[in-house]
Amino acid sequence: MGIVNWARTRSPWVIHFSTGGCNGCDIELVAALTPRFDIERFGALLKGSPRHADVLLVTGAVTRQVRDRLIRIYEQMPEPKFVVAIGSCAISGGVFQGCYNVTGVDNALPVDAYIPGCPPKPEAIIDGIVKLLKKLGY
Amino acid sequence: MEREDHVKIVEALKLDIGDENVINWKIPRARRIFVTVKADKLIDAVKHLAENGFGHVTTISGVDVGDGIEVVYHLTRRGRESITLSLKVKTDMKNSSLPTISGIIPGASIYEREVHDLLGVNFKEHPNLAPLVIPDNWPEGIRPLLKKWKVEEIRKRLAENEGD
Amino acid sequence: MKETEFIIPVGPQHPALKEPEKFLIKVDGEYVVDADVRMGYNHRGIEKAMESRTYLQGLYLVERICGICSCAHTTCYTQCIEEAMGLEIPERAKYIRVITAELERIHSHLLWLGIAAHEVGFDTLFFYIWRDREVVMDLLELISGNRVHYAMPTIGGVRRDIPPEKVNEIKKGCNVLEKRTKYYKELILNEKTIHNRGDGVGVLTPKEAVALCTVGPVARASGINTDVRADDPYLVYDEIPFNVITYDGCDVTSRILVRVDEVLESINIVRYCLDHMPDGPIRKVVSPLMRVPEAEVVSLVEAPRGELIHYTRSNGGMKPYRHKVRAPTLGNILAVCEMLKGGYIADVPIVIAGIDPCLCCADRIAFVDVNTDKRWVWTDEQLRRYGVKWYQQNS
Repeated sequence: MGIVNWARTRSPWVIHFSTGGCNGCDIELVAALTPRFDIERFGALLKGSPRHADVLLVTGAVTRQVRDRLIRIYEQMPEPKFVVAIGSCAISGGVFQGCYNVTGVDNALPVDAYIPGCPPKPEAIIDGIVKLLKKLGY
Repeated sequence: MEREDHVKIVEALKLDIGDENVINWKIPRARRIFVTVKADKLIDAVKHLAENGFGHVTTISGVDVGDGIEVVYHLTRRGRESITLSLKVKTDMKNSSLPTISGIIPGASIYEREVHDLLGVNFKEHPNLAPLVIPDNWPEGIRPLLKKWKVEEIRKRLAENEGD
Repeated sequence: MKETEFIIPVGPQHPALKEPEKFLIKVDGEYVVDADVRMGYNHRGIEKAMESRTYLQGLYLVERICGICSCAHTTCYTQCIEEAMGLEIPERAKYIRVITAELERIHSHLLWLGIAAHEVGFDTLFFYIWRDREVVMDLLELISGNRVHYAMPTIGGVRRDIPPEKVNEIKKGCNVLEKRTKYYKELILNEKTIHNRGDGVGVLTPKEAVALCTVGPVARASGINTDVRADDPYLVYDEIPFNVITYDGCDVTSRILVRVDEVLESINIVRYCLDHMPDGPIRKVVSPLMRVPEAEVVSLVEAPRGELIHYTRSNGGMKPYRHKVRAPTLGNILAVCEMLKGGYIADVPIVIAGIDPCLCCADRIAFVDVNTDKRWVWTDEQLRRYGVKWYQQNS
């Protein structure tokens, strides 16, 4: 089945949360929305509320202060729910590993997919999300 | 820009606040002057410099030098003959305190706030020393840029604070 | 132009949670009376970390202070350390650093222009500008291998050369960018929505701009003729003919126009550099475990957002004793608080956007009405929509 077809069968709702960092990943994620990359043609809809979201995209190094909110957003999502860590900082702290105020997504939430890069290109972000969605049977 | 132009600036400052109050100075290259003055002459020095073109505070840095905290005011004379003069004063480690210069240059207040957050220097009569860069719920007493606080220790204390 | 469900995903949408806010705004009915800022949510402890890393490791850390102006940080940092070492880099490296820095300025200003369009509800323009911004992203990737965090300056020079084949690509890209930017300038000058939301909004008088130590395009939009590239020339800026752009409007519209014109200036600077770049080496190799003799250095560059300073104290070791960074946005915080006063709540999003703050995570803004003591928290998105709707109803 072609990718466009299976995307049409189900539109997962995706929500993004930025946890502090340089925002490089955020810019590339926003770029993924723009016409050149156009993540929405894969059916993933970027939404504002976690209450209806299926997938949580996390960027940034997860500073302590933001961690609570990250966890609470995750808790607000209904099952089944999945977490994608976008960028080296979200995965391991990146260059900020060892800084006193930085934790990491793994310390807060169970992660289903890791998209490495500093930052990952929009194509890589889309690729990672689509791979996860496919694997989950969307 | 000649070296002479820079020396004149230092000389004028010395004339105004008194030779004995200028502890040392250097001009490492064009457009850069470093001057150390006695802490009780800080206000007079800043007043003099602000009145002589150095009215822009680029930033204020705090440095833990072991036996005290050196606060460095990076004042810039903007425009095509730009010079950045870094004015240094030293304050004690315990109860470190300096008068605010925001009465002379309002823009300084935000940088003083940052030095207060990260090194604990108190700026007397500051309009608003509320935390700026330090997060809320930061454990009392940890001034992270002081040399006595090692990164590992801060991490540990933060974790304890959050009940990790 | 219809109001869409489009949301720029920069943060959570959770007003109900008790979380740190980045702005605390006091209001009286529709008007803002005072504003304060908190930046703790993004505190990563970078300056402390620098003290336990080698100078080369520090380079990659400062680069990531900000994803939009990372080149400004690496340029400022390498300059700082090189001065401490007494190291003079090759001429060609200086030109390449300038080219990268100016391409970054173009990308940063276009990014901001798109965001500003979004803030006033002009999403179509946002999409067009970000599409065109891809041209400069491609050029940055062509030169450096990455779209963000190009890591071009390294201690001793630059990491990669710009071979002749790439020079033509860059020039072609510049021509496209110039044409599109001129089109956007015309559009902005004639677009009623923008003038409605920008003229006379967020006023910062020249006197206030100077007293509050404002930097960058914000200062220049209040007529202050200051730009580190012209005032305190570094690299080869003293050899390159370019204009410092100022406008006298002192408002949001002026801030938009300053940045648009700066894009056009940057394009010319890039072209000049490509034509005048001398041949030669691009790098003086230094050991990754280099030691820096005892020194104290202040390094200044003009980042896209304004004056950037790195201050270092070295003591002969492999790691800095102290490294201080003041990013330009901090220099404009007091100015933005001042600009908000006396304005409408509906102006808050565009005035804050006007200083081009880092697209930071915690996007919550807390309000308190001084008369009724009513308190509430809005996200960036809620505030943006309120602004768009308010102006639709009140124009």
